[in-house]
Amino acid sequence: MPTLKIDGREVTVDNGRTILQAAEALGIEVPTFCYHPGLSIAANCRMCLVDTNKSPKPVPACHAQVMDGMEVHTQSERIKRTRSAVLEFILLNHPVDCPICDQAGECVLQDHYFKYSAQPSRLFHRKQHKSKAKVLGPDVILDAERCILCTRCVRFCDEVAKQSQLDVVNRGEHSEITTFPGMQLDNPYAGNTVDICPVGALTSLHFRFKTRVWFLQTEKSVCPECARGCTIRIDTFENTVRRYKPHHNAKVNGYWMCDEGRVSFQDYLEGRMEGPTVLDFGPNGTRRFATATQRALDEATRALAASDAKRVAVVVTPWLTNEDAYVVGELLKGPLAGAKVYRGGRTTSGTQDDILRRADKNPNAKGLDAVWSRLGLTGAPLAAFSAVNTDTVLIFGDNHMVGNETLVELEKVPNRIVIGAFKNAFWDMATVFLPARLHWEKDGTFTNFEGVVQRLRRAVKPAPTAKSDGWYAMKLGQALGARLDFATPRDIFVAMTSGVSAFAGIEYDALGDASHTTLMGAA
Amino acid sequence: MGGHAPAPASKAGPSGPPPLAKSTRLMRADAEPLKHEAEHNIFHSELMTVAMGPSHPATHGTMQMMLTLDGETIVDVDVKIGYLHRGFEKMSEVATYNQVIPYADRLNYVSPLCNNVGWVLAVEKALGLDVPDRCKYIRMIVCEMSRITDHLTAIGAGALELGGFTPFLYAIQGREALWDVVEELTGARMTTSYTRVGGLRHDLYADFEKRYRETRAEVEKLLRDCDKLLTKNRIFVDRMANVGVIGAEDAIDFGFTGPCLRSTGVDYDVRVAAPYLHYSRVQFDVPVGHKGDNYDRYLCRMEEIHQSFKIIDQCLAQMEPGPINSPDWNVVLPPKEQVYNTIEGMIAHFKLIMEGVKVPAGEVYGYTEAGNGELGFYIVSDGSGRPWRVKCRPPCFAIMQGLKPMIVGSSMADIIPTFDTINMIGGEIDR
Amino acid sequence: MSQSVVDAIQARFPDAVVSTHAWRGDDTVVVKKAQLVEVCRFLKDDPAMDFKMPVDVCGVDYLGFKEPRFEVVYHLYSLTQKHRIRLKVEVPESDLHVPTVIGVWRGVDWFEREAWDMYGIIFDGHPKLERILLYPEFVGHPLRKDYPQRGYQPLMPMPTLPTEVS
Repeated sequence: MPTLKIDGREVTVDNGRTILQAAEALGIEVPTFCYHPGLSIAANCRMCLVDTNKSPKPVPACHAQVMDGMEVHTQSERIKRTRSAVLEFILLNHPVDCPICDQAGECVLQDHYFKYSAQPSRLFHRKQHKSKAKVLGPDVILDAERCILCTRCVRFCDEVAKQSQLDVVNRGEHSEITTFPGMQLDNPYAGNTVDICPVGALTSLHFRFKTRVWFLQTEKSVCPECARGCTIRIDTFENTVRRYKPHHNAKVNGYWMCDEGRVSFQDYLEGRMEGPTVLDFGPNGTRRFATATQRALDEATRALAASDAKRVAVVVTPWLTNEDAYVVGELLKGPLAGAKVYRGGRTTSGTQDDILRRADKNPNAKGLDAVWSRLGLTGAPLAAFSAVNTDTVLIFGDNHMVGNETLVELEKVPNRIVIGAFKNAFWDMATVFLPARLHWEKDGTFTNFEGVVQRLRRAVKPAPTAKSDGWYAMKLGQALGARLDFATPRDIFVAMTSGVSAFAGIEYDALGDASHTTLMGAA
Repeated sequence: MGGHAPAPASKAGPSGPPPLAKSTRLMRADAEPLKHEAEHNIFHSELMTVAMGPSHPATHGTMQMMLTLDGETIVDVDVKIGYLHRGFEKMSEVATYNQVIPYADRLNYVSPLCNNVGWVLAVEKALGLDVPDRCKYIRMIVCEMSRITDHLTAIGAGALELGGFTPFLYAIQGREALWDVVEELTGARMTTSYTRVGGLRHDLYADFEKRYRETRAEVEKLLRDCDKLLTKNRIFVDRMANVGVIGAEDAIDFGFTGPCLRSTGVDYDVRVAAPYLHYSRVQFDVPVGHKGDNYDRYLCRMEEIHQSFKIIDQCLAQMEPGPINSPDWNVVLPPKEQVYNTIEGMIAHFKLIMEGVKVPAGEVYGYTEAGNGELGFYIVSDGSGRPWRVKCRPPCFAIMQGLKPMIVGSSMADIIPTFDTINMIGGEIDR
Repeated sequence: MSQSVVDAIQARFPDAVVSTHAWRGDDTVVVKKAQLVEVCRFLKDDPAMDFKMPVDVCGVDYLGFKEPRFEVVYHLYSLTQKHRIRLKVEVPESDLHVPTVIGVWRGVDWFEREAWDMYGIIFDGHPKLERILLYPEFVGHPLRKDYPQRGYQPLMPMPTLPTEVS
């Protein structure tokens, strides 16, 4: 365990650690460009050079290993000049693009220049021109003039995506990042190169020119597109989601997320149905009316109460949060005990790889199982739905993967209560439609396929008429005589920790930056 | 609280006049009622509450005085301010340090350049930044010009309310002449926003000295005329002398600064006690009164105008050509040709505008001598480009606290000259 | 540059001083609020201190930055000794009471009222602790960090005027 001094402060670290890691332990900031904790060390940018007593030349802190008795200086006059010089070289051919560059506001080059240099230019020459706005792949566009050749993207494609689709060509000041001729940067994780590019060389095509980053508000949440449940940041502006970015989570997704999840938010932006509707079978024909939530709930209650619980079918989905699933479970344990339970959701045999993507394209299958484990309910697959002996069907969620025959069966049921969000076949068939909240409008938790419980945080303010599935279940349950009373998802989670063994001992507020593993090892 | 309705006059009932209320018009609790009153009891007087303001033709600035009167004598006054509160301090918490400058303009709006200079000096104190000499001289010049406009306004308004329309117009004409120069220099008469953290918006224009000398001659002539009309004027002196008196000890206890404090005989001027910019390199006198009444405050202001001109003359003589901004691109915007043509200038400009000048975490109290006294800015910084807390210490806030002892016991007619010589500026006191 | 003042306070009230610091030429002493009035009286009356002029009193809200949440900051000046000092008291959210120093200097009157108005800090013993910059029906204390930048206030009913004049 070598002990070293950095700027006069002593620290002891494990053998094999680099000076950069030791400095991080002390809270001392050493600027870098090409270093990334999730990638191999390249040491080509030379920004992290520090003075040591073990070498006459400054050494790159990201690469140099600590030695016992080493003395490191990060603020000496030579290092300040060195950083200034490194930045000067990087900026020599850098185009004056800040006003049109998406990276402005989150650009490492801007931040480092302002903090460590702020010196005027000494260039009295034309700058070198390279490829500008070159589309590399379905989601990535390259501006080679802005590139500082840190090779983070090259290393990412080699080491993480395991498809070497990028490389540096030419030499000297003509060096450029490029794909192989005729090939595209189209691996399923290509969007991460945009995240790790420290400048605006690689930018996202779907986010290009959409919003300036300083307008964005951020919330941490979970991507719902598959059972991996990558921790993400949802960036919004004016109450609309503008992009997803991965958030580091050592247990779940490391530093990355897949492109499918990254662009998925675009699917949820349009076609939203936010008002409750009721189908009226009047003398003049069947007409659909917008109505107040209470009236719709009354209609739904009437339909559910009219017949015996055995003639009621409930379709649940692994898109319900743990809290929603708990309340629905209470409903099925109480007033609707004996109802036929079906399980919908999206496909469970999608593309899977050994990097991040899972075949199960539903976010909370494991959570649903865990929450219902004590109820002994599993539910038949929705594809096996039969309208025989069914007067009312209560459908949670509207993104079920079903064929036409199932839809036809569902439409045979006289009362169809749908809790959904979009204009689709389920909305069309609903006799009572109750608008639900999307995952980014909810607070709650998901459990991923490994049993890691993570919190969703509300990033978008929902329409006042859109309520969560659990709220509707609670209201229907109350109307049917159950004693259910929860004010917030937090309250439900607290009830869950005592009611469901798999969640015992987890604290809702502790589900913060460090995701929590359920005690599912026992299950 | 809303105003009280005036107490209804007592009515004569069917059996004759109601029992007479004992007269309570007393200046001191132990004073004897006047002889003729006690004998004849002809005045059925009760105390009357009059709301003076917030909208009143004779008060300059919006504030309300709830006067409790016994006839014409003021028994009590409740001074209510806050009618011009615009949340300067709250807004400053989301603005960068340079974005606060237009807000500061609107504090003491008759001397905006004093506020500009005061604010950036406080920020530069927190930064530990020194600005070039030429910048310091120019800041002194504009600060003194603003002080002159402030005093001219006070003198003119004071004369106006006492019935002297002519000296008011002379003073305003002088103010206009000065504001013309200020407009030529900064682009605006009142919302100047001329200073920047680390320097100024731009240098003096080519004809500045010539225009200044013309204006100075004009203002001094107008001031001589005002002086002839007012200073030995029987009516003016009668209404101003021995009215609104406050003693030195009380003034200090209330936190008075500026001409109001100096009129009581206390020789305190921030420019002398703690010189900032290059005030230690110029010679000027600080006029001091001895009575602490309205007349002394008027005289102090009159003389200070002459002294301010003296300071400006010396600054123009001592000034050398040179840069006006600090060369540090972490504080001052790069020149535009570098911003548009080099990436370094572009980045520096971008970071300065988007994130602001980063002031190290800590707290400072920066203070200067503004027209009304010590104008202070207490800045708490959290290390970012936006202040965590800004407290503006307005000079007339402390002075208005002392209004009550100045006017209680005097006649209602004395309120106006007292209030005028105090020179409360609504924007400054309410922020 | 008023180290002598800091030293004098520390010598005279060693258990009242919580911390001191100096930065950019300003000296600051943080004292416990229970001994605030004593310290102020000493600063005013002692001839070597002679802080006869109260310059400023204000509140500061450090929500999310440090505990305790509030501070009341006093700036004082001595005309004869020509030194300045910044005195601070820490005010936790659970106990917003601070003794008034209006008995020491009359000039803190309106400043303390403003601290009450803007932060809700209660000055015990102040003869008239009412709102000063805002109207009496205002809800909340706007300079607190949890009061929004664009806060909305409830509408006030129009005042009714007496219809009869007798």
